[in-house]
Amino acid sequence: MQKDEYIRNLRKALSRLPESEREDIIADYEEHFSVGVSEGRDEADIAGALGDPRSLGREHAALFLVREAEIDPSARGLGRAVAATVGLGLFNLLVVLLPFLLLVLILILILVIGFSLACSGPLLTGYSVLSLLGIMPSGLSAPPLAGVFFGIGLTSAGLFLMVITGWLMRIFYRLGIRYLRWNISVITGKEVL
Amino acid sequence: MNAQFKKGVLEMCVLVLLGERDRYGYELVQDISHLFEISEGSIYPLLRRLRDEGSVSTYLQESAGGPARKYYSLTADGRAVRDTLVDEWNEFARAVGTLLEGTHAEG
Repeated sequence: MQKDEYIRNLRKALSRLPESEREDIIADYEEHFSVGVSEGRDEADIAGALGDPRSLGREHAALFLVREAEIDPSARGLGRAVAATVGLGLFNLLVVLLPFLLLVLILILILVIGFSLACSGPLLTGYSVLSLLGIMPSGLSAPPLAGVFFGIGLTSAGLFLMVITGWLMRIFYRLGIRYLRWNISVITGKEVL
Repeated sequence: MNAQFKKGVLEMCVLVLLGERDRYGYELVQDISHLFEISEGSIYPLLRRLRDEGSVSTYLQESAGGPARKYYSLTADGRAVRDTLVDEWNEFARAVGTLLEGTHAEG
């Protein structure tokens, strides 16, 4: 492989990155080629020693997207970082994508439960107050006053669960970023390095 | 040499070399590949990560009769990371060395 083809393949693998970052990465490899050539090596030899441009490009892309997700936390950014890391190897479907999806599912589940509790509380309290006032028939087996307090309890528990979820999300986000970075460093470059 | 061995020490080697003096990418690759075989391209993701983590900084400098080269230099943070890695390496190497000597003595 000659330099032009090498750079072209690298650029293709970096296509998801912003142009400035992509060109900055490519400049490093172009410099590498130009120094090598000036020392008398031929392009094919340099390209061979550098290693597969596609897997190098994927590693650069994953590192960049993980860093972006760390600096500017967002669900979208994390999704892109996870996708780029999963793209580094089939094995990552198992150790990155699967745990990620499970975690998201569990967090959504807790959030939905919390939200339902928080919503059902006021309904129960309201209904109980109305039946205390004699406006609604008392259909509950428990005394209406207990319903009032139980409703308040439900709301608090629901809100508490939602707060906990937010808190868990932040912790998992931070740990997830660290895990992705570790994964990238372990999974890449094992063929030649 | 075992790939995982090399991967573990590559970062330390880069930091140690940059601690001696500033180097450009190609030079760094050559200095390491004289010692053991590496996939030369993998040094660049590593350098980029070290820069993002603040262990190294970069600057451009004109070369004699060629385009400017990107030089890498070790920061104060990088020196601290290097010292930790070197200490850990020495401790590890000593422990493994002791084990190997013991085995040889018995065998």
